[in-house]
Amino acid sequence: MRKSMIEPITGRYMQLELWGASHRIYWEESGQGIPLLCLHTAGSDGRQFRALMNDEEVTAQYRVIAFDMPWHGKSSPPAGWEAETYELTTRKYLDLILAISEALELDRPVVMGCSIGGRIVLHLAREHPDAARCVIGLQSAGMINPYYDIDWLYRPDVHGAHVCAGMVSGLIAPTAPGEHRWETLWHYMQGGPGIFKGDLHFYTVEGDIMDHVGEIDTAKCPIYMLTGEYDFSCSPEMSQTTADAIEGAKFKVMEGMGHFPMSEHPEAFKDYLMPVLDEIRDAS
Amino acid sequence: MKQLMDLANRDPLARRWAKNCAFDLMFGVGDDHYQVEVRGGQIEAMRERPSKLTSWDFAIAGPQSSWQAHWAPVPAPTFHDIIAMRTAGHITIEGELTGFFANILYVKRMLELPRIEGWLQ
Repeated sequence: MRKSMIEPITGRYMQLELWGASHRIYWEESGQGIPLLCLHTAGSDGRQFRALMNDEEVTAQYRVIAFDMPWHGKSSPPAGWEAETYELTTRKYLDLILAISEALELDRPVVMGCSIGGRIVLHLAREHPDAARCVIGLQSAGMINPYYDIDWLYRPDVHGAHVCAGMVSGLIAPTAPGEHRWETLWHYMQGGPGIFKGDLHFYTVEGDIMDHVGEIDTAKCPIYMLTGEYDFSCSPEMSQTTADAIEGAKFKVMEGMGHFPMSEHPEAFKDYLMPVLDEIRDAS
Repeated sequence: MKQLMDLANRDPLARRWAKNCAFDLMFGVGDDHYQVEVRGGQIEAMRERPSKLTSWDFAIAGPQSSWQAHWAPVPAPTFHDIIAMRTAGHITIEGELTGFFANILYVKRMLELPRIEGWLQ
């Protein structure tokens, strides 16, 4: 039985002016060293990185930071949200990452994102290679093949919490520990109405970078890619196709892992992440 | 398949997500078809080879090999989840899908129970 304890993670809020409006953003962090800025998946929040921020082997070398995107987790939507339909775009996502990095005075952080986060780090490496010392794309691909009508995620006759969790549950590997599987799904059940769908606008429609990934200069911004073998949304084949189009990209398939490696099976994920983090540390 | 009905009706997780569920599922395994009648979060009836004029809300069907792969102790990628199987073309999901999406956690659990109960071990 585990003993009661206080985790080393601290959480705070910042006020950011973005797109002409004030945004109250929540972030958590733990550790000291090279800044490691973590980007959560669509429709979820920064709690996905809870294990990483509790891992002393990581936090002894890295300052691990995870923020909740506006409209997600403990970050608020902007005033007037009640009359707005949330829709994530590439430009907004990049603006957000750059603004948070600046607000926290991060010196060329390692930016690690999963799913939509894995997509945006490709845009970041292409458009702002000086903003990161390298990027890590988890479940990362230049584009994916949409496999269902995302309108099902936001309807008055289908419970949003149930359908959001139900649609992503199959993206988790069957070998994931039950505790972590259901924690991951709980985060999805807590998403605001229409938010997962709004994120997927970027992921499945607007954020296609496949025709431009070849323009990424990995000499300026190295790219590491890790994809779980059970992910059929961003499959290993899709990541491989993307990696093949980026000269110098380093890609590995994670066995026994699905779409949420850091959240669904943190211990197994560490076996794949640590060699990458060690390589980045040695190069820094 | 009677066993599946009993399993689903007593499985705590299925019962957790089945609250107030009501739908008619046509479940196909190879050439065999079963009408699964769910009312009030319980499978009230499971009829084998129902009349061709039987109505249903949605149908989930595939060859026996797909379901055996789904129920393997550790299913291979693309066989581990019904949406994954549908995406890969191993099974079909069709009909009036509102009930499917509204009850997706329960439907997935129900159809995973043979794996969880180790039917193929």
